[in-house]
Amino acid sequence: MSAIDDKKAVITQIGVLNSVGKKVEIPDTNSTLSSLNNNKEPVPFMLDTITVMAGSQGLEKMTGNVLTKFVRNVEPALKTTVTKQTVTHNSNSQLTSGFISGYQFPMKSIDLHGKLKTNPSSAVGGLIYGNNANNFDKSIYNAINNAGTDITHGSGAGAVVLNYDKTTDKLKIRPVVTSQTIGVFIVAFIGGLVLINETEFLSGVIDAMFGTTSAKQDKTLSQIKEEEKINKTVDKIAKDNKSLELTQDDLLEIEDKANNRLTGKAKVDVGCSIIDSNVSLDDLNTLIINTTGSTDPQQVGKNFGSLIDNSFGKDTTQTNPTNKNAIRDGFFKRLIDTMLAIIITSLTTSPQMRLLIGMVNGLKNNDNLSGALGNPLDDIKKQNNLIKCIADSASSLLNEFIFNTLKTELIKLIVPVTTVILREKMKAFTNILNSLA
Amino acid sequence: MAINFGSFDSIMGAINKILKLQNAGGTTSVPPPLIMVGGANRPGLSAIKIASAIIQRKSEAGLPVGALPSGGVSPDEIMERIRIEEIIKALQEDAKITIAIPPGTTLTANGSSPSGPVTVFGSTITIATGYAVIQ
Repeated sequence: MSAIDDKKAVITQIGVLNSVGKKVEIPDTNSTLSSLNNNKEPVPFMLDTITVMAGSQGLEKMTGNVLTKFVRNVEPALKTTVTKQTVTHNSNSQLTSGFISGYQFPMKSIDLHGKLKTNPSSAVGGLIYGNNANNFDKSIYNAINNAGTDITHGSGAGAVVLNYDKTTDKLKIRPVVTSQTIGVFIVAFIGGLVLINETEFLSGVIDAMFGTTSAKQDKTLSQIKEEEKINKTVDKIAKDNKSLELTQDDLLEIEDKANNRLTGKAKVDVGCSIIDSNVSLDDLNTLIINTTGSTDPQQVGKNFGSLIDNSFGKDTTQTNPTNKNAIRDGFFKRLIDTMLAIIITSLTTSPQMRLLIGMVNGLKNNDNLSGALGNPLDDIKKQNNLIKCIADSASSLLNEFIFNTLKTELIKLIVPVTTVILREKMKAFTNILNSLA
Repeated sequence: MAINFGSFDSIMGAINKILKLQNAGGTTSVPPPLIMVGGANRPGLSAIKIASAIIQRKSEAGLPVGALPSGGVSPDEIMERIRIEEIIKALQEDAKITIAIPPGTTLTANGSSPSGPVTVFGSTITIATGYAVIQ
């Protein structure tokens, strides 16, 4: 059977179980469930399955679960993944002399998303750098802001000294502890990184969907387009696309996304027309304040629901959507998809990860930095395997989390139906015995 | 088997396994002596009896039972009888039942040998097959 037939069979079976257990309508498998196609991505299908079982509320709660139970706890597993992928063949060797003197990398190859041009103390900066004082990207910003001055980041074996040269626009990085092995340094450096900060993560997710922070960072259309090209290429690697070249369709999509992010608006198709939706900086701040303090997935899901509800209908000249549930479902699915994309971005193209990749490259190749960090798009294509492995690992972790939630919901649905079936079988057996007596 | 969370097929397999949980608890076999005693006394299938039972229960589905306001027989009830008659006819005339009897059935046999009559105790060692009809 093809993937679409397999998916339809599962959805129909769940619909029948729903019908027997709760007396609700069997879903039409030819309806608008967006995952009913031959695409083999597990997350959209599992989310559709949850929608069939528990409706919009199920999806809302799932979003809350992903944030409170997955994103907040996934950091150690992600660090293990990054460590495994960056371990070098010469990890038992001492740090190289070149690295001890310092590796220099061009800033344009490190800061792919224009993050380091924003002051962490500004309103937007507070969102895009997050609220962790030990954030490595903040230290890089500090080094840029204090050109020519050594800025130490971290402690112990993973501590590094950063020094920015304004003339060449290059950042130098060297270890504080010079007498140690490459392996010990890399493990300690990764251990000291903050891969997922909730504030930074949420800002990234909402920005990717609505352009909330991009619109306030004074980015140009061309800058955002370059960022989107990088995001699209990483996405192609993550989704195992055969060709990493951007097609005409990709470029049109990039142009569209970049325009939306520049204006801080997202387009929503409400059936009869396309309307604007936008999330302001204040809306984002409110979401972060209400969400980061809560451990209740239901409440966190509701916070996202409110954000979505308030994101459209602001322009009174546009058609106000009547079917808000359908729009909410679409947003929740996109939200979870975007969360995965932001995790992958954080692990592959963030400034701290670019520096890590650059350092590992130099340490692997005996201080030869010629292929370390250059044109970002070319680098990403060259680092195809590394990015694919990290993306696969992050996807697997999210798939496992969503599957476990789905499993719990499925068992909740199946147990009452199974009890009814067993009773029916027992009754039939008794009837057979009676008929033979 | 462990699920490969990077593979769509593996995840789908796991979801299908969970859905099969509803089939848990197979039916218990009817004791063979009871079949021996009671089987022969069964009345056998009757299309009219089945159709009558279904028509009697139509009211459970909120459907009218009985003659039409004109006094004529409801075509729906006639159709019900025809449907069941055809199903029963197919079961009685076309259905093929093959019975597999596993090895290990104990047996006692009598025979003779040059030294006189012998009685053998043992068990079957091959799978035996048989056929049956539905009546």
